Amino acid sequence: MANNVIEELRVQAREAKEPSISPVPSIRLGGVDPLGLRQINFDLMDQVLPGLNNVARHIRPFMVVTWAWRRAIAIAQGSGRASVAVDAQLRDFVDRIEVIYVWSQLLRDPNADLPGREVIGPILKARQYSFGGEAWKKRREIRENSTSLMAAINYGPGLRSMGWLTRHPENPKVMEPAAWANLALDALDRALGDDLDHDAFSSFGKVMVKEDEVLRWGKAWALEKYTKSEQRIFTEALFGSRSEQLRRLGVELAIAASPTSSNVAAVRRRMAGLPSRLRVPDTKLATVANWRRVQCRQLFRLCLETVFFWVTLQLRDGPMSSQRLVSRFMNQTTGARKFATTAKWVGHHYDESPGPVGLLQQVESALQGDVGQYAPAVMQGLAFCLMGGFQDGAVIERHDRLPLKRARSEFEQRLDTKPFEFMRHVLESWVFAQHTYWSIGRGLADARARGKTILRLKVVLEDGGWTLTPGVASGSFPQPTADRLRTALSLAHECGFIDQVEI
Amino acid sequence: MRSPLELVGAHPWQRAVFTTYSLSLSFFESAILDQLVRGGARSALILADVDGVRGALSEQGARRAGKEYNIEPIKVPTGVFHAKVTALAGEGECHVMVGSGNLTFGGWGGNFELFEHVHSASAADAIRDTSDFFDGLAEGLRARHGAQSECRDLAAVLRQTVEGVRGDGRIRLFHNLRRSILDQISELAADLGGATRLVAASPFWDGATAINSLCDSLKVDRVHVHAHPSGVVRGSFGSNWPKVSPKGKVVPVCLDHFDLSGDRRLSHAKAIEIICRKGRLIITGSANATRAALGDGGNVETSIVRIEEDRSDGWTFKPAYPLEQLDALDDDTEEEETIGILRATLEEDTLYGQILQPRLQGSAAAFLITSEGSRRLGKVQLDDASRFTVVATGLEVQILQGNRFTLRIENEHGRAEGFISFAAFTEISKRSGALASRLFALLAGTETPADVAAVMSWIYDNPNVLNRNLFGSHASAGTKSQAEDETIPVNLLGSSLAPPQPSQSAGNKNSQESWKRFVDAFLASLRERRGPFQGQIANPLGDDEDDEDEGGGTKEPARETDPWIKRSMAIFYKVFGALLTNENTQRFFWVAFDLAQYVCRRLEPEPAEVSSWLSTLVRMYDEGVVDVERRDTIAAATLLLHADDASDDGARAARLRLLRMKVAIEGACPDMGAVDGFRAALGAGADFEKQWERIRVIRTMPEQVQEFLKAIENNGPSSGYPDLPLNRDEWPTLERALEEVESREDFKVVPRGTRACPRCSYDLPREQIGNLRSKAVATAKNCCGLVLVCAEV
Repeated sequence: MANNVIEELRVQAREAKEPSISPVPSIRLGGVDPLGLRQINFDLMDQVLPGLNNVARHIRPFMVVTWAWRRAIAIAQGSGRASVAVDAQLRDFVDRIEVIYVWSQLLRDPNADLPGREVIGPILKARQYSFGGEAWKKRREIRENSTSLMAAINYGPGLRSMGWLTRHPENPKVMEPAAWANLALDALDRALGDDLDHDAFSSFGKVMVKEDEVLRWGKAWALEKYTKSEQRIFTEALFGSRSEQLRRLGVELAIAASPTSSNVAAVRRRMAGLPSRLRVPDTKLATVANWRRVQCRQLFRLCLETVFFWVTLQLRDGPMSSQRLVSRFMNQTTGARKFATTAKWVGHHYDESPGPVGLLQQVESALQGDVGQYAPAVMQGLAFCLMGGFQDGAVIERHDRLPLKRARSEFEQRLDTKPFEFMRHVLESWVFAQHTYWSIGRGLADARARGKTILRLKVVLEDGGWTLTPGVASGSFPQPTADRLRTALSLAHECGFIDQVEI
Repeated sequence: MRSPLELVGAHPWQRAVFTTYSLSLSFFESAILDQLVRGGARSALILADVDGVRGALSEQGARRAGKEYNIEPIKVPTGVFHAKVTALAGEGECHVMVGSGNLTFGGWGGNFELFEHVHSASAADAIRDTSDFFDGLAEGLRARHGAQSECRDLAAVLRQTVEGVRGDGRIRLFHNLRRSILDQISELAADLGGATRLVAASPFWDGATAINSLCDSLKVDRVHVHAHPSGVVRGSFGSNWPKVSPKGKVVPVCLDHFDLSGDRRLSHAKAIEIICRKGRLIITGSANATRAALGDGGNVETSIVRIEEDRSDGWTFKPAYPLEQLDALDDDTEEEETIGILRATLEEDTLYGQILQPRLQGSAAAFLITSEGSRRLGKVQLDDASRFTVVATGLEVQILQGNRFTLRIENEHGRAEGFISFAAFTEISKRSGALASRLFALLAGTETPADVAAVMSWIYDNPNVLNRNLFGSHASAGTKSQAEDETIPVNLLGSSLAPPQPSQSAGNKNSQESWKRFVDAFLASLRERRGPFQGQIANPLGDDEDDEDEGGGTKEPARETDPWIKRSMAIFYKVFGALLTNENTQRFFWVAFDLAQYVCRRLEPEPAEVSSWLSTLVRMYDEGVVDVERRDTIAAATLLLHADDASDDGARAARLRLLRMKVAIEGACPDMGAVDGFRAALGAGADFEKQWERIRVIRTMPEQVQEFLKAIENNGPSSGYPDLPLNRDEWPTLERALEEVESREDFKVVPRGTRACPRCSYDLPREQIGNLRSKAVATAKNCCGLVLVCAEV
């Protein structure tokens, strides 16, 4: 391919009769993590709610996938054959059960909280489906890493980290269901009753399934109908004796923070220490500190991304120097001219009373309003992150991901400088340099892997100053990284420990 | 039509050189370097005007300068270095692009720009001219810089690609290192019978000066000036439209060729078309319609000239309104004093450099600048040419680790700042080829699973690249007699008064040293505590996960779907096996150890695999691989390997291994941080202090045999062999020997590894060989029944 390109270019050079006009750049633009700060958030979340993600928030899909593997292994064992094909039989069966399950739930409720609605659309329309042949093979390939319940962005990590499934020592593509889950899985057997004899549940290979059958099964294993034994066993895995300690403490804290209301935002705030008055035993103090760290990092990231977004809106008017951008930003805050040093100016914005979650909400509210409201909210958030009490945690925060510790140290070095100089540092180093470093690093990583060419740079330094990259209209709208709390609360609710979860 | 960017990425260029006035490093790294990496190019060099370099210095996020490519600032005392040339040289061919666009987003398509692309097979004359341009730069014509050898080498390479090829004279590159552009085109126009029509497009005009010069030189009375429909780029010099000239009339036109429907880009294009009586000239490139560009002195410019010897109607155009005259942009930055520019090269721990602007002399202070602040390096002495040297210990490693440093020199007369070139880069590129960028990523901790797979393959194919033993000095120490009086040529005396510059002649030794230091840094990076990939910059689904996530940020990056993790693991198995063959273990044990632990940290393998690697490493460790500084590490690995076995046998086995490794068991528990990668992958949470204490107290069977033999010597039993009596078959004989001297011939002390009865020479039964190995006692059951004991650990 490269040879063809170079040959075409040779011919192009030879045949040109006139100078050429530079073509309009056609590099695809992209990127939603403009400063590359997300990873630390995830690492910090692992200290409180490890093994969970923001998608896998229902008990039943965990059970159905585990059950599917148990069933597949039982069919293989009952076949009398010496061997079984891992992909064409075992995994094919599990994939089939997954699709039937999602299909059955979407028939009951088109808004069911399950992945794969779009992919299943054609099956829903067709009202019957043949699990076999090329079309099914292709569908399996498409699903594998995206809408499959086992996929790493769905229930896959939870299934493994909670021990529902473990890789077979001989073949890691084969999953073995946990023996301790048997009582819960038996309940699913009972729920399906005689339908277990249907080819879809009892054989490998091509199977035709019709909508009326799926509708019937949908009621039997409904997303919201879990049995007592499922609840009990899931509880053990989620935060009971089978849970790793960090998750056990994290989920217990979330439950403790939801005695009267399980509004996710309110629980988040209560879990995060002061100003929350939630009393916790000494054994959970570290969990509270870790959760507070998550929220402080969320706040820091949101503040810097908001500055970045604000900059992209300013640059719609044309290129600007750092000087001009800093002046504009500071003019939108309070006390810009009143305080001579960074220490005093940032101190002027410091107010610990809302706590990290409250300040996070303030920045989010500001983002819903006029652009002039961004700067005051950001300054309050930054002041909290830079001046509030802070302890190192166990997470290794890479220096190049701008850990809060680094930011605080750089802030402390500049306490006696003029506020303008400090804000210039924030803009040039924490925002622009971080954006450039991350965007380029990410792009070059793709280049080395010969992956897609995506230009993530949104702001660049050109002749007239900072300017939007050609083709960029603005930065992506900043929002906090989902912190898994909703998942933890949802699962705790389904296990019977919380009455309801309000988003 | 294929774009210039595609050309950059279309081939593994051996040399890629870019010249520019303005420079955007974020553009270069995100677009050009991206393509160079994709194409597998070996090296890249940017020659930029000092103004461009000054701008680039403020781009703190672009961190690869001096390492994955070099920047050489150029100072043109009479103007600016304004040439915009891209030269790409491969095996036996080269491509040259000459245009109006700087090395910025604007210059490569953000603006309306013009460029010419010539190739060695079809435009030999232009390639020779380009070679002449770089020769001129190498000679230092009109420009001060430090890239003489690079320019000379490039000139030679370009010349080689057209050696023996006759040009047709239709495409030429004009530069003004020796003669002005205007003189050269006037001469050509005269050769073609004289000019009859002149059309010019330029974003910048210097009043009426250029119009006067063009009309005078070409003997025309008017200039058709292109008024670009969407306007022109505003600069910090001149104005966007010529002023009225007494020498020639300005006729505003809109060139049909330049009026692309829907193209709203501002023009930065520079072009002159001259219709002559016997032909036509088209000149495009960097030269604006200014005296500084076209006349004598002034800027350094390059333009491609197309020479048509047939009569042609030329470009068509429509009448247009002149552009509203706009003066140059005011600089709103209210900048403090303009900083000067320097160049510097780091060789091992010394920085060699020169200030190009301003000329500073005398003593000054040197500082290393990072985004977090500055660090004083010390005092430097600037010579007449503003050259200096300064020691910067440890800087090389920090640069290799991905940190961005610039250098500042300042004294009371001024200050200058510049990028630091990393001299070892050439050697690293030579030895690792296109893999260099992946190695740099690994050193900086920004590698991806795909990089890991590529680096693993590289190690597998060339394990000796990591063999530090091969780097030993070839000259043995002390070969030169200290007694002999040494002599020195007189003409070298006094040379120390001028600051030394990087050695050109040290050659092989320097390059080998560079590589050695690089390998050290590479191996050290494997030992760094880095977390698992977890999709942080991986590419799951072959897709861009942070672009998938527009919907609300609920999905987290997925690690397990990245196919490169699996591939990396697969290659690692092969590498690990290859490094630990009997022939290789001595050389590569620690490489295998560090690599395995790196894999544990980054790729999160299954515990069973980790356990097997650890077991292999502990088994393969012997005196041949001893590294005194890392004995503690292997002790920690042994402790970890036995962490799951709480039995006495387990503790004894661990102690035996440690004794054989000559680890000081009486000392403190080894630092388990040295095996934290293995430990995390195994999920081992044992109390190692307690385990260590147990190992310290317990005695291995050979040690108990030693105690038993002491007891025999002392003719009295002791408590030092508590487990020996558990050997029911042998203990009665041994117990008797303690009591009766005459019974002592019923047992014999044998060396480790004994397989036959020392008395009868019959092979011992297999079970007894096993007993001797594991319990240190055995019986020659198939011959004389002699009891054998082994006291060697």
